[in-house]
Amino acid sequence: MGHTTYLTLELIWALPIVVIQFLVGADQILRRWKVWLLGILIPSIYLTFADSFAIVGHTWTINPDLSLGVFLPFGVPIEELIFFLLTNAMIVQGLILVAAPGMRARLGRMLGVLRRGPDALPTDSDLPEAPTA
Amino acid sequence: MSYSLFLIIFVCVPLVVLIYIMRAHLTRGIALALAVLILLAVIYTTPWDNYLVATRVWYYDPALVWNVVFGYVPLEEYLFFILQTILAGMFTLWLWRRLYPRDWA
Repeated sequence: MGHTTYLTLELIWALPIVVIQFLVGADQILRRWKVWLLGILIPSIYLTFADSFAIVGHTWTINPDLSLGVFLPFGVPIEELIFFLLTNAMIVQGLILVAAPGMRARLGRMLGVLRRGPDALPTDSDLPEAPTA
Repeated sequence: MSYSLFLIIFVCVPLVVLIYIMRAHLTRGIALALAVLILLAVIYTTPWDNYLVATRVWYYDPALVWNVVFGYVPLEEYLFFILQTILAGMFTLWLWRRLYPRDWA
Protein backbone atom coordinates (compact mmCIF):
# COMPACT_ATOMS: atom_id res chain seq x y z
CA MET A 1 0.00 0.00 0.00
CA GLY A 2 1.43 3.34 -1.08
CA HIS A 3 0.98 6.29 -3.37
CA THR A 4 0.40 4.07 -6.41
CA THR A 5 -2.31 1.94 -4.74
CA TYR A 6 -5.38 3.66 -6.22
CA LEU A 7 -3.87 3.93 -9.72
CA THR A 8 -2.73 0.29 -9.67
CA LEU A 9 -6.16 -0.94 -8.55
CA GLU A 10 -7.84 1.05 -11.33
CA LEU A 11 -5.58 -0.35 -14.04
CA ILE A 12 -5.72 -3.98 -12.84
CA TRP A 13 -9.50 -3.74 -12.65
CA ALA A 14 -10.33 -2.00 -15.92
CA LEU A 15 -7.61 -2.80 -18.48
CA PRO A 16 -8.49 -6.51 -18.89
CA ILE A 17 -12.03 -5.53 -19.91
CA VAL A 18 -10.80 -2.81 -22.28
CA VAL A 19 -8.46 -5.38 -23.91
CA ILE A 20 -11.16 -8.06 -24.17
CA GLN A 21 -13.51 -5.55 -25.82
CA PHE A 22 -10.81 -4.77 -28.41
CA LEU A 23 -10.24 -8.49 -29.04
CA VAL A 24 -13.96 -8.96 -29.65
CA GLY A 25 -14.42 -6.03 -32.02
CA ALA A 26 -11.51 -3.63 -32.51
CA ASP A 27 -12.56 -3.26 -36.16
CA GLN A 28 -16.08 -2.16 -35.18
CA ILE A 29 -14.76 0.26 -32.55
CA LEU A 30 -12.07 1.83 -34.74
CA ARG A 31 -14.44 2.15 -37.71
CA ARG A 32 -16.38 4.52 -35.45
CA TRP A 33 -13.34 6.18 -33.88
CA LYS A 34 -14.96 9.61 -33.60
CA VAL A 35 -17.74 8.16 -31.43
CA TRP A 36 -15.16 6.19 -29.44
CA LEU A 37 -12.91 9.23 -28.83
CA LEU A 38 -15.54 11.88 -28.08
CA GLY A 39 -17.86 9.45 -26.26
CA ILE A 40 -15.05 8.73 -23.80
CA LEU A 41 -13.39 12.17 -23.59
CA ILE A 42 -16.35 14.52 -23.20
CA PRO A 43 -18.19 12.61 -20.41
CA SER A 44 -14.85 11.99 -18.65
CA ILE A 45 -13.87 15.66 -18.63
CA TYR A 46 -17.38 16.64 -17.56
CA LEU A 47 -17.51 14.09 -14.71
CA THR A 48 -14.01 15.08 -13.53
CA PHE A 49 -15.20 18.70 -13.36
CA ALA A 50 -18.33 17.59 -11.45
CA ASP A 51 -16.10 15.49 -9.16
CA SER A 52 -14.30 18.65 -8.03
CA PHE A 53 -17.52 19.88 -6.39
CA ALA A 54 -17.93 16.60 -4.47
CA ILE A 55 -14.29 16.72 -3.33
CA VAL A 56 -14.41 20.38 -2.27
CA GLY A 57 -17.75 19.67 -0.55
CA HIS A 58 -16.23 16.65 1.30
CA THR A 59 -18.86 14.31 -0.13
CA TRP A 60 -15.99 11.92 -0.79
CA THR A 61 -12.25 12.05 -0.25
CA ILE A 62 -9.40 10.32 -2.07
CA ASN A 63 -6.91 9.03 0.50
CA PRO A 64 -3.75 11.16 0.09
CA ASP A 65 -1.59 8.27 1.41
CA LEU A 66 -2.83 5.91 -1.34
CA SER A 67 -2.80 8.27 -4.34
CA LEU A 68 -0.08 9.95 -6.36
CA GLY A 69 -0.62 13.49 -5.08
CA VAL A 70 -0.87 14.81 -8.65
CA PHE A 71 -3.79 17.20 -8.94
CA LEU A 72 -5.74 18.59 -11.88
CA PRO A 73 -7.26 22.09 -11.84
CA PHE A 74 -9.93 22.42 -9.09
CA GLY A 75 -7.96 20.01 -6.86
CA VAL A 76 -9.07 16.71 -8.41
CA PRO A 77 -6.56 13.85 -8.04
CA ILE A 78 -5.43 12.64 -11.48
CA GLU A 79 -6.67 9.13 -10.60
CA GLU A 80 -10.23 10.46 -10.78
CA LEU A 81 -9.81 11.49 -14.43
CA ILE A 82 -8.22 8.08 -15.11
CA PHE A 83 -11.18 6.39 -13.39
CA PHE A 84 -13.67 8.20 -15.62
CA LEU A 85 -11.62 7.56 -18.77
CA LEU A 86 -11.46 3.82 -17.99
CA THR A 87 -15.10 3.42 -16.96
CA ASN A 88 -16.40 5.48 -19.89
CA ALA A 89 -14.15 3.46 -22.24
CA MET A 90 -15.78 0.25 -20.96
CA ILE A 91 -19.25 1.78 -21.41
CA VAL A 92 -18.67 3.27 -24.89
CA GLN A 93 -16.86 0.20 -26.25
CA GLY A 94 -19.45 -2.10 -24.72
CA LEU A 95 -22.22 -0.10 -26.35
CA ILE A 96 -20.53 -0.14 -29.77
CA LEU A 97 -20.04 -3.90 -29.45
CA VAL A 98 -23.68 -4.63 -28.64
CA ALA A 99 -25.29 -2.02 -30.92
CA ALA A 100 -23.18 -2.01 -34.11
CA PRO A 101 -24.87 -3.67 -37.10
CA GLY A 102 -23.49 -7.17 -37.59
CA MET A 103 -22.26 -7.58 -34.03
CA ARG A 104 -25.20 -9.78 -33.01
CA ALA A 105 -24.08 -12.52 -35.38
CA ARG A 106 -20.44 -12.22 -34.26
CA LEU A 107 -21.33 -12.33 -30.55
CA GLY A 108 -23.55 -15.35 -31.23
CA ARG A 109 -20.68 -17.20 -32.96
CA MET A 110 -18.26 -16.29 -30.12
CA LEU A 111 -20.68 -17.51 -27.44
CA GLY A 112 -21.16 -20.71 -29.45
CA VAL A 113 -17.40 -21.32 -29.49
CA LEU A 114 -17.16 -20.60 -25.75
CA ARG A 115 -19.93 -23.10 -25.02
CA ARG A 116 -19.22 -25.87 -27.51
CA GLY A 117 -15.68 -25.29 -28.73
CA PRO A 118 -14.53 -24.70 -32.31
CA ASP A 119 -17.12 -27.22 -33.59
CA ALA A 120 -19.61 -24.36 -33.32
CA LEU A 121 -17.82 -22.53 -36.15
CA PRO A 122 -18.97 -23.11 -39.73
CA THR A 123 -16.83 -25.74 -41.43
CA ASP A 124 -15.56 -25.76 -45.01
CA SER A 125 -18.50 -27.94 -46.05
CA ASP A 126 -20.90 -25.25 -44.77
CA LEU A 127 -19.29 -22.64 -47.02
CA PRO A 128 -20.28 -22.15 -50.64
CA GLU A 129 -18.23 -24.07 -53.18
CA ALA A 130 -15.12 -22.18 -54.29
CA PRO A 131 -15.31 -21.27 -57.96
CA THR A 132 -13.06 -23.49 -60.07
CA ALA A 133 -10.55 -21.79 -62.29
CA MET B 1 -22.72 18.74 -0.46
CA SER B 2 -24.81 15.60 0.07
CA TYR B 3 -24.14 12.73 -2.30
CA SER B 4 -27.79 12.76 -3.43
CA LEU B 5 -27.60 16.47 -4.32
CA PHE B 6 -24.46 15.73 -6.34
CA LEU B 7 -26.35 13.03 -8.26
CA ILE B 8 -29.32 15.33 -8.94
CA ILE B 9 -27.32 18.36 -10.12
CA PHE B 10 -24.48 16.75 -12.01
CA VAL B 11 -25.96 13.50 -13.25
CA CYS B 12 -29.77 13.57 -13.30
CA VAL B 13 -30.13 17.05 -14.84
CA PRO B 14 -27.93 16.37 -17.91
CA LEU B 15 -29.46 12.89 -18.17
CA VAL B 16 -33.00 14.30 -18.36
CA VAL B 17 -31.87 16.73 -21.08
CA LEU B 18 -30.25 13.89 -23.07
CA ILE B 19 -33.29 11.64 -22.73
CA TYR B 20 -35.51 14.50 -23.93
CA ILE B 21 -33.27 15.14 -26.96
CA MET B 22 -33.15 11.41 -27.77
CA ARG B 23 -36.82 10.68 -26.99
CA ALA B 24 -37.73 9.83 -30.58
CA HIS B 25 -34.91 7.28 -30.87
CA LEU B 26 -35.24 5.33 -27.63
CA THR B 27 -36.14 1.92 -29.01
CA ARG B 28 -36.51 -1.38 -27.16
CA GLY B 29 -33.13 -2.41 -28.58
CA ILE B 30 -31.44 0.66 -27.07
CA ALA B 31 -33.13 0.08 -23.71
CA LEU B 32 -32.05 -3.57 -23.74
CA ALA B 33 -28.44 -2.70 -24.65
CA LEU B 34 -28.25 -0.16 -21.82
CA ALA B 35 -29.86 -2.62 -19.38
CA VAL B 36 -27.20 -5.24 -20.22
CA LEU B 37 -24.40 -2.67 -19.74
CA ILE B 38 -25.87 -1.53 -16.41
CA LEU B 39 -26.10 -5.11 -15.16
CA LEU B 40 -22.48 -5.82 -16.13
CA ALA B 41 -21.31 -2.48 -14.66
CA VAL B 42 -22.96 -3.14 -11.29
CA ILE B 43 -21.73 -6.76 -11.11
CA TYR B 44 -18.16 -5.83 -12.06
CA THR B 45 -17.83 -2.60 -10.06
CA THR B 46 -19.47 -3.65 -6.77
CA PRO B 47 -16.70 -5.93 -5.38
CA TRP B 48 -13.94 -3.58 -6.56
CA ASP B 49 -15.53 -0.46 -5.10
CA ASN B 50 -16.31 -2.24 -1.81
CA TYR B 51 -12.63 -3.22 -1.62
CA LEU B 52 -11.60 0.41 -2.20
CA VAL B 53 -13.79 1.69 0.63
CA ALA B 54 -12.83 -1.21 2.93
CA THR B 55 -9.13 -0.36 2.45
CA ARG B 56 -9.86 3.40 2.64
CA VAL B 57 -8.53 4.21 -0.82
CA TRP B 58 -11.46 6.61 -0.78
CA TYR B 59 -13.96 7.40 1.93
CA TYR B 60 -17.25 9.26 2.21
CA ASP B 61 -18.68 11.52 4.89
CA PRO B 62 -21.41 9.41 6.58
CA ALA B 63 -23.30 12.65 7.37
CA LEU B 64 -23.71 13.37 3.62
CA VAL B 65 -25.35 10.08 2.54
CA TRP B 66 -28.77 8.49 3.21
CA ASN B 67 -27.12 5.92 5.48
CA VAL B 68 -28.35 3.01 3.38
CA VAL B 69 -25.12 1.04 3.03
CA PHE B 70 -24.62 -2.27 1.20
CA GLY B 71 -21.32 -3.81 2.25
CA TYR B 72 -19.04 -0.81 2.66
CA VAL B 73 -20.60 1.39 -0.02
CA PRO B 74 -23.58 3.76 0.32
CA LEU B 75 -26.63 3.36 -1.95
CA GLU B 76 -25.88 6.64 -3.77
CA GLU B 77 -22.62 5.17 -5.09
CA TYR B 78 -24.46 2.20 -6.61
CA LEU B 79 -26.90 4.67 -8.19
CA PHE B 80 -23.90 6.51 -9.60
CA PHE B 81 -22.65 3.38 -11.46
CA ILE B 82 -26.11 2.98 -12.96
CA LEU B 83 -26.63 6.65 -13.85
CA GLN B 84 -23.10 7.11 -15.24
CA THR B 85 -23.67 4.14 -17.55
CA ILE B 86 -26.92 5.67 -18.85
CA LEU B 87 -25.41 9.18 -19.12
CA ALA B 88 -22.28 8.16 -21.04
CA GLY B 89 -24.30 5.62 -23.04
CA MET B 90 -26.97 8.11 -24.11
CA PHE B 91 -24.37 10.74 -24.97
CA THR B 92 -22.52 8.16 -27.07
CA LEU B 93 -25.72 7.21 -28.88
CA TRP B 94 -26.46 10.89 -29.56
CA LEU B 95 -22.98 11.32 -31.06
CA TRP B 96 -23.21 8.04 -32.95
CA ARG B 97 -26.45 9.00 -34.72
CA ARG B 98 -24.90 12.31 -35.78
CA LEU B 99 -21.48 11.06 -36.87
CA TYR B 100 -22.43 7.73 -38.47
CA PRO B 101 -26.08 8.03 -39.55
CA ARG B 102 -25.72 5.01 -41.88
CA ASP B 103 -25.52 2.72 -38.82
CA TRP B 104 -29.03 3.92 -37.89
CA ALA B 105 -30.66 4.04 -41.30
